[in-house]
Amino acid sequence: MTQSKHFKQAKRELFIFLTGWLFFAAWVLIYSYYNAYKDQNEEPSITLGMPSWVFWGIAIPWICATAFTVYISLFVIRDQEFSNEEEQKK
Amino acid sequence: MNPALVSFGLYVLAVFALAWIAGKSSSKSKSFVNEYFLGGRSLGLWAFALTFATTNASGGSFIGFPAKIYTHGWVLALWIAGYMTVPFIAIGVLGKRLNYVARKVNAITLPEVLGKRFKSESVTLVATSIIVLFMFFYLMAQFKAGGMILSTLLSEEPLFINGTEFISQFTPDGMDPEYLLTLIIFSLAVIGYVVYGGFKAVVWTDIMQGIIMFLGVAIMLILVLSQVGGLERATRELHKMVPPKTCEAIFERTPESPVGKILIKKGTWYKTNNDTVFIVPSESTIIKEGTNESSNVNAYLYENSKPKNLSEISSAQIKSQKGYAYGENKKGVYLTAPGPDLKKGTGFLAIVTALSFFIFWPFGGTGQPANMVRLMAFKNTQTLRRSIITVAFFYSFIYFCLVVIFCCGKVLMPGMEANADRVMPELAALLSKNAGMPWLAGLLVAAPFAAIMSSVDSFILILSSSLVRDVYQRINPNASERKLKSLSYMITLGVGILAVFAMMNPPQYLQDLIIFASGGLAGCLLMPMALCLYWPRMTPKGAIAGMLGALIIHLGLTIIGFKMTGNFEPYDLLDLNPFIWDVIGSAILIVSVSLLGKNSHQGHTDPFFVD
Repeated sequence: MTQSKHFKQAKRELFIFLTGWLFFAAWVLIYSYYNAYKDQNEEPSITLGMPSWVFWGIAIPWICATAFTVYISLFVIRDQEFSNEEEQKK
Repeated sequence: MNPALVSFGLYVLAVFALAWIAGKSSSKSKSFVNEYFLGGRSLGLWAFALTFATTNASGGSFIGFPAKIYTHGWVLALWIAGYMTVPFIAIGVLGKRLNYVARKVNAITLPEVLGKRFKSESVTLVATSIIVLFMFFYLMAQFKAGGMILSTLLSEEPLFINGTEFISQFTPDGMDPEYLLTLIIFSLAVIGYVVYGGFKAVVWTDIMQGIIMFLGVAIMLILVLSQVGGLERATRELHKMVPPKTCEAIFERTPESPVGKILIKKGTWYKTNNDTVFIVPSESTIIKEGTNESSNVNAYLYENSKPKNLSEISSAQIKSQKGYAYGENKKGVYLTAPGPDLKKGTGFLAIVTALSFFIFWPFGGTGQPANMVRLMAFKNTQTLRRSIITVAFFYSFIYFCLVVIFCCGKVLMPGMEANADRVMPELAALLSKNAGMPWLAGLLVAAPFAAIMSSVDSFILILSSSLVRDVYQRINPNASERKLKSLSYMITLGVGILAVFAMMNPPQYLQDLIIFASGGLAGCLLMPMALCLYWPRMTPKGAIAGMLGALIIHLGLTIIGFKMTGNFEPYDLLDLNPFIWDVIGSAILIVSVSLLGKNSHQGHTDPFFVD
């Protein structure tokens, strides 16, 4: 069975999506594990109005994830022609 | 008339107008079923992006999520962080493949895609049954949330009060007539426009609802930051706060008390003579005139809190105080993980739980039938690419800003832990009042209402499309367009009415019901659908084993959780969300059953994998 071009391209894109997810999951969870689970009884550590761990562990990766989303949408996902059953029969 | 109600009424009218125009447009199409349930597969950028984004953001996003932020603090940023990957996972992973093959084999529903992949009626029927079962639970929960929001807006309107009195004559004991009336109003509104307009009405109204949600959050953000004195000030104030204690307040008549009746009103702050501040959260009580009886009320006790509108009462005593299991007297607990928790000694969000939510949001979203159906409806790949970007900006803005808004809201409006589900409408009302623009509350409350409406309408349509296309059209493949049209209207109406009847006596644990249903849907359908599109070796027996296996795991974990806690909440094996176990079990079953069985369907897989 020779796989269609569409299917091969979809598999390539799937690999990039899952790698991206893994990268951001690792960043957020590892950073938060070491920095968010600390007591702040005395002076709180604040960056741009929010707790510093939220800024570096959530806000910054969120901005990077949005940039990554824009990049893959513009340059990785390929345009393909769609046709339905009736059109194919014609 | 209440200005908030006027602006809210205008919003609802606009929704109806859009639905009417959409209905007119749909009725001109040649293929009614394709147009009514899938909008003719012609969604452009804004339609696809906003209908996808708003369907995913249900009542939970604007009712349950703010309540959680208010109760546990900044740790909710970590809880929701998985949303940063939702656009490229939930749209990207299945989007192009699903749209491509659904067009190729002319499938309109998800069970139909699965059925056509394997040429198997059994696969279609199992998938349809699972969708109908879980969707109905989900729908019920959203109807209740819609009713709750309406009651906030209408509760002081004379017409509504008269209506409640009238309906109370026919309401059985134990049923709240106010809730019943709001449920009826909400249902009439939503069911009406879905039945008339179908998918196109749902999508067009979703666009407007998406804009309302965006504007609502943006305005609330500006108001809350200006009223609290900036984010840094709010975070520093939050740092000083510690979780309240639950207690019993005993009110007694003393010689100094007024002679008449004493009203102990819910939502009122009281201060005892030893400077203890407490709030009576949920029920008003009266000590009758001329009696010396005491009244015991459940209350929340706050230390270091200086609320406005404090009522001084010397005759109250505080007894049986109980602190949070995690975070009692712990300064800074609202700024850090795992966050305070009333019951769990390990805190609200252990790191393993954070991991399971980072998996659940993107992959659970991918497995939701309402999302997958939308993936079958976009026009072309350019639309898909631009929509992923639009959804990414929409979610980043909405979810991160909600965390900021309700962390600030806790500082502005303390004392709502016992009624945290009402924090969104209450904060909207407070911000609008402080800003001197009472009409704005209507617009702000319209945001969560829009989120609920946009979910309810999609679910009703998925349920009815499953019944019309996957059940009726299989029994009567030659049914005429006219017959299908009237049947679609009738079944859509019937599904809506049935959900209203089911919600007349709503279950106590609303949020748990939503989690049960959404987790179950995604757990049962994600792997069968993903592998159906990406793994040629998968067999129909593997698909059925995967769906039923996940269903058994999901129900099993829910029953174990119920037996252990007495509440309708699933058992988190190893602290992981049950959805993850559903997906793991489903994947193992699909792969093993498919590999053990004979691959007799290779020929049928061709349209999916070969040009």
